[in-house]
Amino acid sequence: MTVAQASLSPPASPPVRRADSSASWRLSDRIGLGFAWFLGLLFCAIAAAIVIYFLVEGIKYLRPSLLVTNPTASSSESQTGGFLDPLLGTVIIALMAMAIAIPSGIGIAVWLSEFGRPTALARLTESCIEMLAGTPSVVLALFGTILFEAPALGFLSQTSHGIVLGQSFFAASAMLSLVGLPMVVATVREGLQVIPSHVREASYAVGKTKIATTRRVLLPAARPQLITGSMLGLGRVIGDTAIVLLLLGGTLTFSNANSTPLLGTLRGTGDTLTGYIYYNAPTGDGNQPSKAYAAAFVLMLIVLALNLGVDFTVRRSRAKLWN
Amino acid sequence: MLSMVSGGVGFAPNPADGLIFLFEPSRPLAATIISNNEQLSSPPMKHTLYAIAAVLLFSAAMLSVIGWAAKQPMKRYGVIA
Repeated sequence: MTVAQASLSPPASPPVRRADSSASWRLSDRIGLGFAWFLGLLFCAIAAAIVIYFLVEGIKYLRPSLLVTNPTASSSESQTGGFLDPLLGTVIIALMAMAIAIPSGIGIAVWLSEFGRPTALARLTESCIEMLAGTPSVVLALFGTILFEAPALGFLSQTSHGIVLGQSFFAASAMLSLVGLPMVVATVREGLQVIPSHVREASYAVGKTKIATTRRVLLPAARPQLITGSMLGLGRVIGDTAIVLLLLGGTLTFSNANSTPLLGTLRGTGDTLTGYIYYNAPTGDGNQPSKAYAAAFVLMLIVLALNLGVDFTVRRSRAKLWN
Repeated sequence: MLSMVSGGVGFAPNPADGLIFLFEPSRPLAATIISNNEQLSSPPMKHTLYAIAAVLLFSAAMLSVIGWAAKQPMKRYGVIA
């Protein structure tokens, strides 16, 4: 074949790429893949075992009366009542903590992602948020006891003979908001960072200011991540025990600070489902495992409902965004 | 939570006991704070519990620093974590 013939002949077809199957991998890579599969399946099995065990045990012990009666002191397990107050306490704590964590988290995430000036302060804030995420909640609880026992914050909790007890729904939810905050900040920030820069530029091109762009363009686009972060934070808040025991008192029933209907309750002590489970677990002082299983079942249903709610809302938000 | 499965007993497992050391009950730092929270009004106990909390906080801070250091090499590939 001459050079001219070669130049006119059709180009050689590209080499056929071998299927990227694991059979062609090195042995060490295949072992790594197998180990990853094993770990993935192991964690699926552990999660399934926990859910199934509590479904079986919870259904066995859960009675409608447990949901509408308060815990009472009795030597007989059948007369110790249900967990109405801990259930309501969980709802109150979750609402109050997230009412603090969500707006603060969005504000911090927007500032870090869109403004970030001065840079040194932004980096310091990032490090503080990361450290907060890794701090054990019991440390936050102890810090809360110092903070809320201060006489200046006495109006937020019960006082006895001039001594501020520092235990109330206000105190517990304020510290629990710090538990949920890092999740909100991390996910909202990630959501803002994945928005392409041309979206911002298009908004500036039509004359919108940076604040208007953030409020009307970026935050609606990051709504799925915002919802995900909020729900993950909420999951951590309702699952915490240490702050509840130290700052809410773990009194099983509501103990109002005064007769004022709502404020008296929020300034008083109470409990959540996690505190109730801790007390009634076989290792706890109450030692009523059947009640603990029933409460754990209800708590697990709440968490599962939250996860399903997140999944549904995120899918819906994404579909709406793309439409 | 950990005290519920680790025994919650104020006892230091002794490696000199042999393999049974792995099965001895223990009480982690966080569980110790929870177990003794009602004695916060006693100054000596209060100081001990705050010291335990300081150790926990320092450990968390060091882990955070290690996490930050581990992420630094990724920056040269443009990964912001």
